[in-house]
Amino acid sequence: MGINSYSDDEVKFSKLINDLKELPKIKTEENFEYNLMIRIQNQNFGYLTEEKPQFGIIKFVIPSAIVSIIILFILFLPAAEQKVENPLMVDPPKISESDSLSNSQILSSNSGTIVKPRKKINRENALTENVVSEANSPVNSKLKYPINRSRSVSLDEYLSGQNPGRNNLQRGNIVRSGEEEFDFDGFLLPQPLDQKSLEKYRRMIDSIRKAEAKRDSLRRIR
Amino acid sequence: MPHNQNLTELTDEELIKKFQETNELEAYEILVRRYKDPLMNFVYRFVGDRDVSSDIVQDTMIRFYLNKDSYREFAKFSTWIYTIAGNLAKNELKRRRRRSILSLSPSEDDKQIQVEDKSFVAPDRATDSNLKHDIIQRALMKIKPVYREMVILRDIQGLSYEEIAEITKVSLGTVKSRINRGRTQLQKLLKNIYDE
Repeated sequence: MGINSYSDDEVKFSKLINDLKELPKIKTEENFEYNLMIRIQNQNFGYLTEEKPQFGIIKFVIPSAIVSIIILFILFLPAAEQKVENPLMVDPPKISESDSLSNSQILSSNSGTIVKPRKKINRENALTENVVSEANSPVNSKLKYPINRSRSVSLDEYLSGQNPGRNNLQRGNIVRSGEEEFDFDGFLLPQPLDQKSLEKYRRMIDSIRKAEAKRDSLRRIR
Repeated sequence: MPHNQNLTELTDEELIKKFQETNELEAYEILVRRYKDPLMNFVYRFVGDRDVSSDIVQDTMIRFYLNKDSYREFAKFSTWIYTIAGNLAKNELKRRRRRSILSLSPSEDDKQIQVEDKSFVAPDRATDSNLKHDIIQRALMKIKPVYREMVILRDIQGLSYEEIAEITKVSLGTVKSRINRGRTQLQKLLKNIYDE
């Protein structure tokens, strides 16, 4: 246990080192060994035999995992409950979905077949249902306007006389019947005819009549 | 008693080996006799209290008795027993620190280790050797425990740097630097003695 000289520091602190060496040696009391052997014989080891709890990874991981889960549960669960949908971020409902409630009922009852209006229902309802069901039908996406064939007139046919099922009187009635207010209350809002459009339609009819007269005169000449 | 005489001639390592193998209490007693005073001196200089030091050395010997099998042959017995004593002494200091934090008034231990930094003793009075020793002990208690331990082991107990490194489980360089810092702090505290 001799001191080895490793550095010049020992020279620098020589006085201090000498004083430290000269410090009186403290000795144990005389009955130290006796007391020690008594303790050993009596197995009186005090706290020295108490085993300190060993640190184990499992002992650390399990409680910390439980605590973490509880903390996450406390922090994030109320936030999830309070989550309010931003109305600006929500997609607007589709018009077809909202409007086709009755239609969907019809579809479900007919198990996917294209819904056609029953013939016996009154004319106005039939027209409405037909339009609604056909407009919302997933099969037939082609829109049909609420124009009743029996009440409509094709000007080309009217002029050329290609429609054999109708005579001129019928045609004229059909055209004139356009003056009557149409009661359809479906998707298109009924608009009262204004005076201007009435005049317009009258001029059109007049021109058609003139054309008819001209045509008849030409036939007679032939 | 030729058998006992033979045992006293054995080295520390041979004695502990005998104690480990045969559980012979005489071997243990011889080792206790060899190390009780050096350990007492070391612990007293470290904690500054005789009764506490005596208890720590007793506990060290009890630990040695109970954990004799944890000693391995490749280590020196002296470093092993100094490590046990040093750890117990450090635990005692920690206990004191905790106690002083919890208590509102300064403890007796704190009062005891108080040292005035500048002119705590007049130089003419410091010539008295007993007083000088007391001053040095007080100054030792003022420096940091990590430095104090190193200085005690080196300059009071006379251990080599390698032994100190083994006891304190630090590198040789750290031992040297800590001893240097400890001595510097100590010299600073004792400048009234050394400025003469």
